[in-house]
Amino acid sequence: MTIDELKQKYPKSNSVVLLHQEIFEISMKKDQPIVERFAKTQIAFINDKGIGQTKDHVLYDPTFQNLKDVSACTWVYKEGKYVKKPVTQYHDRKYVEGESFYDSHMVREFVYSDVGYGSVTEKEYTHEFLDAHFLGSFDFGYGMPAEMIDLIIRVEDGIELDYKTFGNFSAIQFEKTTKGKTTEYHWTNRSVAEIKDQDYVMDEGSYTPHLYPYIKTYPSKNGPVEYFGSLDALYKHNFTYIKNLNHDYSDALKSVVDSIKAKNTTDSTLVKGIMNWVQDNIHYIAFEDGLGGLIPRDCNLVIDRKFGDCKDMANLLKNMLEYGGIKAYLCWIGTRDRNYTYTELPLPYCDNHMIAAVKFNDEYTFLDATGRYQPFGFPTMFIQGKETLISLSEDKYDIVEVPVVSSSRNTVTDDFTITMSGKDLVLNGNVVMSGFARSTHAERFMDAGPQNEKDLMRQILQRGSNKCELDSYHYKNLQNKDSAMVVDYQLTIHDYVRQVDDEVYVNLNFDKHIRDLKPDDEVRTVGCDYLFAYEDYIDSRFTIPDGYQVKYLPENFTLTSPYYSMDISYQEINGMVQMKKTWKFFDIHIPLEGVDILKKHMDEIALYQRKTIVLKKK
Amino acid sequence: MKHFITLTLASTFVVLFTHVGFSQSDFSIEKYPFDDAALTSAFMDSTGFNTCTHWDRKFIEIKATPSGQPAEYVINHTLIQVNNIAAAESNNKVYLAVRYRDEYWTLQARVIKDGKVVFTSKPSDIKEVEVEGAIYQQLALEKVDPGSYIETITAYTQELNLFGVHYFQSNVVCRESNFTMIMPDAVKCVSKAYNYDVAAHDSVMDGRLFHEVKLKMVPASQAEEYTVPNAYLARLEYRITQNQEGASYEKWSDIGRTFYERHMEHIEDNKSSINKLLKEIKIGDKADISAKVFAIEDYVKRNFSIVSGASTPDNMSDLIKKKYSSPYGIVRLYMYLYHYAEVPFDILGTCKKSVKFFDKDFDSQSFVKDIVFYFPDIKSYMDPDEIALRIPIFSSDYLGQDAIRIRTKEIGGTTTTVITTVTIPENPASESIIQENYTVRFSADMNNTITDYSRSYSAFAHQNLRGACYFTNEDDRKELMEKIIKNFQANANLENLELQNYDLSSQKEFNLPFVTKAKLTGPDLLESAGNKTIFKVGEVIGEQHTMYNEKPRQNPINVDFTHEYVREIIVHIPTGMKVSVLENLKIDRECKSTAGEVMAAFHSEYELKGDQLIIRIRESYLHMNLPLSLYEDFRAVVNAAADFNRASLILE
Repeated sequence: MTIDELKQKYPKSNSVVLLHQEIFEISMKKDQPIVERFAKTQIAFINDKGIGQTKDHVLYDPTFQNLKDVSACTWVYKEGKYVKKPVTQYHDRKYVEGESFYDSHMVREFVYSDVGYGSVTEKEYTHEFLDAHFLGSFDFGYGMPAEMIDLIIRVEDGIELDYKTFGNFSAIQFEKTTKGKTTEYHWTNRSVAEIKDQDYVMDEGSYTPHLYPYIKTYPSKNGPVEYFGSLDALYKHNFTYIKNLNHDYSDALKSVVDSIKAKNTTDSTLVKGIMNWVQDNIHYIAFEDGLGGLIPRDCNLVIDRKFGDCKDMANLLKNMLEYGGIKAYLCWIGTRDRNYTYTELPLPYCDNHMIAAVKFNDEYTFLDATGRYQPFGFPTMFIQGKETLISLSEDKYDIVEVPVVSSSRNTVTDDFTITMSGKDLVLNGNVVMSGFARSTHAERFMDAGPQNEKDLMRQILQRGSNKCELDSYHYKNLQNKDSAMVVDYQLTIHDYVRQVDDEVYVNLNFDKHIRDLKPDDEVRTVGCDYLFAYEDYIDSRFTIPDGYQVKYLPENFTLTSPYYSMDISYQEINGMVQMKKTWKFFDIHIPLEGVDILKKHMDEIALYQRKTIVLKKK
Repeated sequence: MKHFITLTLASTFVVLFTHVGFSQSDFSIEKYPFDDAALTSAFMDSTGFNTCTHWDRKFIEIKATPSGQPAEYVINHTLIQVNNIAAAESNNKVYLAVRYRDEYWTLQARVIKDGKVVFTSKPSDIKEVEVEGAIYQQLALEKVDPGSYIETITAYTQELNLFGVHYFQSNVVCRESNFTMIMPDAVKCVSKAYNYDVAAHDSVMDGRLFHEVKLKMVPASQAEEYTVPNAYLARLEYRITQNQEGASYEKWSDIGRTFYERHMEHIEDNKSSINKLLKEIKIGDKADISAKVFAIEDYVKRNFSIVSGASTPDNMSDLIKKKYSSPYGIVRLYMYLYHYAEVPFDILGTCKKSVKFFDKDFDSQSFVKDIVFYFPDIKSYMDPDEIALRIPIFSSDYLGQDAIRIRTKEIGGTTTTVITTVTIPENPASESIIQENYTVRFSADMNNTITDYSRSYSAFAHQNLRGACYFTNEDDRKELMEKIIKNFQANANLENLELQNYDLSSQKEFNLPFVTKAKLTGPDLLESAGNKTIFKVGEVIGEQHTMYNEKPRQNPINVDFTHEYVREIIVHIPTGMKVSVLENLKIDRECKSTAGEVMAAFHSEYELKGDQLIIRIRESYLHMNLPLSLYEDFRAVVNAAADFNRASLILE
């Protein structure tokens, strides 16, 4: 296809993927499966805005793959012809873009020459897999339009290949053929539209069709060897990471647990005491260090160093609890940005996180110490509703869904009086925050530091307009995880009151934050995710100024849905106008079919909240 | 574009240092010890901060390496106090950047709790990563808790710089911030204090000069708006002025001349490749200087990438083939292109004011971080770094900055360079205008407003938007503009979006204002009060920023560039409806200098003309730099726009 034809076909785009192809060759060697993946990507720049797109790289992790045969070039377009300009310099460096303190991934970087109008950049490389368990995933979409996205997997006879697909594969052609001793699986997606991000989606991969290939079994001298394909196989694999963990406790560990135990005589308070200690004393540092990214570090080392990542904290919790006499379990789990169940994807890619669990009265309590501020008994926000794979013993496991914390445990109750002072309103009250509503704010305050506390408090309490000034505040329980955080405050909203002749107009709907829940996309293919379910309660009492009477109060408002509800009521009582507002958001996910209704309801609420009360001089 | 003459001048020092031996310093980089005063350092009552610094000591010793090369031996020694859990989590890692793998470096840290050392790092704890040729040593610290002290020593050698800067101030309070330079006593060094007034102390010991500055209780800098906070940090600038043999360095003339000679050295060798490129740019077709300047700038910015860390070839045909180079290489390409296109130009060496104010009285490369081209024939500046800008617009970060100017002059057939200092003038406010026009009508049911929206941005006012529209694809461009236009009207339906003049490669379009137009229909500007409608006319202009005053203002006021908002709102009052005009439509605020000159102002007024209410607003920021004493008046002007946001009409 010529550049002009591409421009015509993709008039809104600056660049187009001409081809992204990956070819897996899976064969047997020395009684082991051998995997190589060849990849090729060509990107055409169909206007002169490709400038700056000259740097590229290939990622690999030497623990799991060798990178070989990297070559890159620019096909420079001049007078209707293409001339090849090879890249001559490549540079390997450690990967540092992620959040990990230390990451074993490597990047081979290079710079394309002469990228301009009509140019096509091309890179080719081969990954030689050192462990055939980890074949990765393949996406059939890009952040730019693509002419052709192609996946070929060639498998030698005797090796059983399988794959799991996610997303809409209706436009993707698939063919399975056999030639001699090789079976070829071939998927092709052509003329693929740009994949666009959607609002309120945690798993951004969910709107791109994608596929996980894996080896189910392979033949060996000792008979077929099972890799993956069932939960049993996955568990067997995962267990290899934890089976050799040390359970000899250091004096330091014993001493810490003993001191907690001395203050906590029941099992449940002991669990809480240990969990709180780990939350407060073990500081999170992420390591993606080859197998160090999969195997928890020794619990004694972690308690001594006072830092660790999720699996280190989980393993420490398990060992502290068990030393304290409480049976505890290690669990694997995928955070909400990896939205699979273990049944859908019984592969190591299903999870990316580890936690600990204890079981009382047949009920698990999940312990995720990476969340420093959440109350005891709460999971972290990012694992709510996700399945976890619980290790019970070498050959026993359980799969349990981590509960979504009920909205009634994450509440914000705002109780305040309002007095009119000229054109200003003065609000006096207190706001009580519990559950995740508390922990998210506590985390913000702790990270911002005391020097930024007032600014942050003003941002949180600001309402009515941007002319809202925080006069004073006092808070309680910022650091006490298990108590609601209470903020007493006084603030002034300047120039808020509208007054014409003998009438005064005041809109008591100061908070407009509900509109932040409304997705703005024109096209949606998946539902909306939210951090947590919650309930907001507002009880405001506006003192009717001397010499005035109520002329108009808005009618009451009720809206209900399976996912949320809103109730607003007004009444005149004892010289005041009382407005009560209750907003409940019951779940953390609204399915696609509920999104349009959500948008409509948000509009209805916005329309209602435009209603003001009217006072008139007596 | 850093340090462009360091190597040349540093090589002169080789002669000096190979002849001179030094007695060993107590500040030996290899043996610099932890300080046991850390064990007894009194707890700082600084609950206002996550961390605070007990001491921050830096030593730079200039001496010869074992191989006789002149080098800087640097030691950073800090003791910080961890006040809470968040600080423990964010400070339990330390980093050291090492420029070259074969240089000496060391990184060590220890954690102290209750006067006892609870952790001391070992060399094997260090992890290494490499980014763009630089190596970073990383150390994870154990046993860091609230109440801990972290003592860190980083030491390394680096190539000799004849200039430098040391910052004493950061965003946390520091009890003792010290800086010491050590050098052979015959070497002359001058320094200058910025934003503090403690004198440096010089002493000579064992043939070495110790140049020390010690500050006590350095306050934390705080985030403030309308200022350039980095420029106001307490810092010391220093430069070596004379070596042991009496040779002196680093006057502006040295810096300018060396730069020019180094970059123009190979111009003759590149004549044919540059002329070939000029043909491709079709420079011969251009009639005037301005068109030539624009064409070259546009061509280079659309076809060549600046890649930091890339090489700077002497041979331009290599660079032209690859279409990328280091920042220096791209500057050199411009110099050659303009030279052979016979466009007279000056090179200005300066720095961004968001980093610091150029000090023309302190001749140091430390102030020459960036290059700006000046074309005297058309009195225009060109910014080689900003790919989204074209002449006459350049980064506003250079407006009002001083700079060294390198100009060439033909004398008797010989080209000589004339180096002077100049000022890049502030931009005229009358040119950078954001013109906003809104015509508002109401739907028949009074549930929606229908707004014809038009904004045009001229001169420096379009710095970011025009380029963002040019480089993004159509969908992203639409999304970006919708976000800007729908400010305050989140629930509105936006139609007829029209963008004009964002083709950066068209000089004609670039010289016209960037224009955005749209039609917005939505309920957000209306409230109902029984049988009356409140129209929040003040919100038509979008949410305006409010400056709060939570802490006493520290720094003077700096506006990026002078500019004005000129707004007109025409409200079509529905037939038969009565309108009551509320307050806040008429606002008059000025911020005047002590001499009575208007520095910033907000004026709004209105008139009722038949069924039209016409509101006119002029919000002006006429000067870029205002003294701290005018802060409250300035804030009142900024906040006037937010006050206008509260303006409403009652319709019944």
